[in-house]
Amino acid sequence: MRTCGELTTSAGLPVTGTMGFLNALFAVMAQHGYDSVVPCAEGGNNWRKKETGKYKGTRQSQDVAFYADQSLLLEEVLPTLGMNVVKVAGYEADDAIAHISRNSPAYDEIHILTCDKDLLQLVTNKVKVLLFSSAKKMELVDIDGVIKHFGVYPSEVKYYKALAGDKSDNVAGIPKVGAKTAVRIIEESRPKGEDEFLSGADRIAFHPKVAPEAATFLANLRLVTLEGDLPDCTWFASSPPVPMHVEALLEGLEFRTMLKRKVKIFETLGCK
Amino acid sequence: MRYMCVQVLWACGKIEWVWLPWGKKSLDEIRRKSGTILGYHE
Repeated sequence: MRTCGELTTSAGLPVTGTMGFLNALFAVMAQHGYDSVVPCAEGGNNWRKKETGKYKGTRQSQDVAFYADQSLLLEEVLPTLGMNVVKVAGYEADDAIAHISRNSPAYDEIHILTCDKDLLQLVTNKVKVLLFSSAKKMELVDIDGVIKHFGVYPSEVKYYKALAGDKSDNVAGIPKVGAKTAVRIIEESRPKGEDEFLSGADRIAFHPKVAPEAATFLANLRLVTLEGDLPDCTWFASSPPVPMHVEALLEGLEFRTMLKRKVKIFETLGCK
Repeated sequence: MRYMCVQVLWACGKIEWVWLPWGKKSLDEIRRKSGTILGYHE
């Protein structure tokens, strides 16, 4: 049902975001055939915002329809599809993703599906980031891919962001340091033997270009570094859903195009 | 003129960044075209 372009069910439930998310998710799952999918969401009371009110401060609050749509997706739709949403109070979804990607020894390969390049800092030999734009335009980024994107190794992406800043998160970088200078500072600050006892962050903070603004750099670094070890972060692998439940869900949401290709969707979700 | 770069999730599942004039009107226009706003900056 379409009202003024925004998608709602005939009962008036806003479903634009839910439909967009499911279309994206099904496209990726059909292409990659995952054993398990773990969606992560904001846990609320974000510690970064508490620490500095400026963090993500340029973002205005969303309208009521957005939150109704989001809670429908997180609390009804994804659990019906057999996926357990992970939320950790005080932390962002990105932190939960960092925690899970670093604490999943049972899996040989982990793909992080996102459209946010922040998560490239989590890439390892085992973890890759699937940068998603559309079903036809997605890029699986490995270590070499991160170097191509930023010019630095995945573990150095946080330094790059702390130096050059991040407009979308409202993190101002170090004055007069842009992308190229950030890469040069990081390259010049790699261990050279005599300063190996220092951490990477300290070596950069002592760099002549950064030293006058070392405090800003270290504060930025704390904001842009994803927390890899969260307290009380429990997560479960997804399980194939019951086809009848998926069909009832799609009928309830009035997603008629998806209902027409339900057999393919059941297959994608691993229904038996 | 002030512009905003908006990240949009369209109902078809496509995600893209679009440049629009700053203001609520632009965001409403995206919602009218079946888009969900994921984030934006100036």
